[in-house]
Amino acid sequence: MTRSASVPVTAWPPRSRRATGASPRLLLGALAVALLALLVVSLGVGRAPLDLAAAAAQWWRGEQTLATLVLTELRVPRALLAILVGGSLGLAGAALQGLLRNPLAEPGIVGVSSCAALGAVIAFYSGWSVAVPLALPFGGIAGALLAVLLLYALAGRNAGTLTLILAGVAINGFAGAATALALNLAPNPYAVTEIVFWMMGSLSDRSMTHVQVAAPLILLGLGLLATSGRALDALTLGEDAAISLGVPLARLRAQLVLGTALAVGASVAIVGAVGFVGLVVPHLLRPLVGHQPSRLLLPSALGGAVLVQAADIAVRSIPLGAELKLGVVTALLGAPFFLWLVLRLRQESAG
Amino acid sequence: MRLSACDITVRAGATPLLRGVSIDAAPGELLGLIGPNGAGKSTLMRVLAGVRAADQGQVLYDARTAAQIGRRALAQRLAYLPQGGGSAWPLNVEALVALGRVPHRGAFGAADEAGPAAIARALDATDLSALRTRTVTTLSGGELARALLARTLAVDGDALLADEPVAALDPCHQLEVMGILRQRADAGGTVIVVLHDLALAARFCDRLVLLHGGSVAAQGRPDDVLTDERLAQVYRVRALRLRPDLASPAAVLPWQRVASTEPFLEASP
Repeated sequence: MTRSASVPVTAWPPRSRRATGASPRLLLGALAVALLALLVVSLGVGRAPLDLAAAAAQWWRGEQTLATLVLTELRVPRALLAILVGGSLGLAGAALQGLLRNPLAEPGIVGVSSCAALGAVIAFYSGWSVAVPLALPFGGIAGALLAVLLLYALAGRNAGTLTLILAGVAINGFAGAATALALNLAPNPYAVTEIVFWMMGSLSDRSMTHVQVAAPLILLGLGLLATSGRALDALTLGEDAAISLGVPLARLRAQLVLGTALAVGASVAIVGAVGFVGLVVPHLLRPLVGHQPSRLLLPSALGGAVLVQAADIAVRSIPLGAELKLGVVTALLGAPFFLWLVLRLRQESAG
Repeated sequence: MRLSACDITVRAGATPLLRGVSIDAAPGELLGLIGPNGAGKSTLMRVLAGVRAADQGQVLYDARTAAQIGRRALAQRLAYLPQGGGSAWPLNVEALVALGRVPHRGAFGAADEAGPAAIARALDATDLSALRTRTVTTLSGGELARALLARTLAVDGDALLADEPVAALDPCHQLEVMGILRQRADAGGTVIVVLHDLALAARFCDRLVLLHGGSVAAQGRPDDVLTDERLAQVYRVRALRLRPDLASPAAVLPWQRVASTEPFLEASP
């Protein structure tokens, strides 16, 4: 029963050693445990007092009580949406960064989220969202698709950080102006307030219907993004080398553009703009996976879900007059982080 | 793998980059691609690697086109080192070299049994085994160039296209890299290398192809290609020739510029 003392010289995928820290399974396991723990906490937190164990037991016995109603109609959809939306934003950030080979490529910064919001606002205004059940998420997806295509046209091939950020400024500017125009022309001031609040990003008052509408689209998008790992690894060496390594570049682009549009578009249409998740999460996790794009994808999805779930617990736990908006919290945390990252990238390129 | 490019023409807009270039490289051969800046060397390499489509002409790999072989199957057999490459992310050296195994990995990370050994051999050949846990951003220019070459060696294909692999290297590592390419060819590989250093080209390559203005100005054995007339005509230099011993080919050392008005140029056909 003695185990061989010889250690393989190398292994594929290269095991993270000294330089890279935790093993991939350990990292994924830790993130999954954190997510489960936060899920339980999230189900227990809220304005209506709820004995989680009792409510769960009643639900299990098939009883219809106020407690089970709060659990299944309020808490569960909210917690599920947090996972779906956080996973989308984290994974889309990691995948876009791999495609554009730039750590600043994030759905919010490059304007995908704001275009998705624009699409949803248009669907809302035109009345389609009332007439057609899926109009809202499809509006968001159409807006996000437009933004990713624009982004790729402006900053796709070997673009530097400057081009990427400028493209983001342009796309965000356009989406912001068009959304403002829609609000400007709004016949009903209450609708304006409602939309402005919605755009801040929040998970409150979302129902199981929202989950049912968004989940298939988001999961499809996540699937497209999550299977791009091998190609993103090859892209580390640049487009020419990636092609010579057998990567079908055009197909990869289409896959990632569509995946981002589906995941982010559907997410934004349901919960509004929740910024910076796709920036912060991949950045924190990247050193733990040896900076390999393929190994960053799943941890980023889990990490995004953890972050959004935690932030959503925080907005419900911080005792202020009105409930804080989720998007406001992530932006307050994320924007300084973004500034710090820009400063560091500038130092790197100067050094 | 026998690589043959037939009548390759490439245009960028209306400007021709390559005009009807035909070259051929056989297994066991180290073919040097030389020529002044803008001669079309890198464009030709990209076409040969199947990265850029030619406007006319075709590239055959053992008498088959890339489409017939299949992009991924070709990627398992032909490695391409682009000019001035780098790594977008601060991977460690081993992970960078392991990217050469991407064509051998299944889409969902299926096992690549030959991978670990190929990676170890590539690290060993490029003298990088001791640096394999180092982050690529901490490497010197020469170390990075060797790591990128090791990545192409890890592909373990039977053809290797290297675009200026020695540009950032000190003399010792230049000789080392040329030695590695020579070894690949001697082991039966087909190796095409773009070089600016005529001394290295003459010393290590079996044959040279001299490109000038997008056309082949000459091809053949180094001594036959690097004549005084051609050096003056194409490179506009006069060279010293050093012959260490009678068995070795002469090393060509560019020494003086030739003014374009000199009669020497006019006299050449």
